[in-house]
Amino acid sequence: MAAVVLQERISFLTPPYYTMDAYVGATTARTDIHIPIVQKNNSGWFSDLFLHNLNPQSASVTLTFTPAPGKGTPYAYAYAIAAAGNCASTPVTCGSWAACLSARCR
Amino acid sequence: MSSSQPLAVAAAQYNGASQLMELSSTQPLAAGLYAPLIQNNNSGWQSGLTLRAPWGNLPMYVNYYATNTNGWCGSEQPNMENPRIVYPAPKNATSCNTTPNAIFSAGGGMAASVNQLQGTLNATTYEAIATPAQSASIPKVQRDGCWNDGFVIMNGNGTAVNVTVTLYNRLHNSSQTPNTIVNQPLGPYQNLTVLGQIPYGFDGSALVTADLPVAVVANAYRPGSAGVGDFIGSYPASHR
Repeated sequence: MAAVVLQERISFLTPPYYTMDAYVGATTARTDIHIPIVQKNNSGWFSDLFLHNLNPQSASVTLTFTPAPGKGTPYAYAYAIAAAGNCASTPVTCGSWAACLSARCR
Repeated sequence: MSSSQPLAVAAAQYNGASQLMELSSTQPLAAGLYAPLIQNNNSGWQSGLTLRAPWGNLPMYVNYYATNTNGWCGSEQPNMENPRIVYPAPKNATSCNTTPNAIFSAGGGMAASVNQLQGTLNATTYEAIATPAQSASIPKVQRDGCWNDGFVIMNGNGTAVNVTVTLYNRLHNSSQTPNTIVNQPLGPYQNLTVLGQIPYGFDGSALVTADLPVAVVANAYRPGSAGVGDFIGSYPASHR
């Protein structure tokens, strides 16, 4: 089976703004994942990360952020995600990746 | 991101209410990555590349191929520190046409995303493809008054391949499904856009097969939606 997720949003601005993008369902879960680009207030761009633990055991996860040259310092956070649980981050509302993820992992 | 248990990850990028880009953790690290669609000032669309390697500051290379040159049309070497950004892409390959493809190469495994931006309106991204395959599935193909979906097939091999595209109607209630709409050779390092070959009114999925591995990226495209905004979503096909 193959699956694609389409996410569409219509804002209530004037004029109404439509946004959409798509991603394909992952066929293989992995223990080592590299996200090529993550943004936090970079010319108005922000990123959200969503982690899904598919397993019957809890997962110990470390997120390591590597800044672009001259754009901050590297940092890492460790989390536990419950069996079949997930984590989500929204740095706009949480202020930091650590606050987002620690508050919303389950 | 490292974990004691295998995870699936989705990453979204957004700019206010107007632009959204998403990708998922479908591609493993690889020393060679394939980008079937680079937009080189194509009707205002411009691509940017972000490459990341966990093994440090060894060189990476981007080679572009285009139909107008019948092959290689230029190359460049991103900066040496992660993340390695090329914007616009191509930056130096001036002989490429508006829709070249690209192969990223390095001495070790890497991951890369291909961003596509049309000014401050449309934005989308896809992961460069690590594992081309002889079969690739596109789950959603729809051409009607709302959607104008298509996809791009890339032959990253040094020899020609024969590619076949078969459409499957969503409801399986049509005498037109399965329907083979493409069966043709594709030259080395060439790409093939499949859009106009899809009958208007079609709603279903597509399967690309080839006699050598190919890389496929799909575009879910919704032109003319209410208001203004961001209408396109790119994603790698499911390669098997």
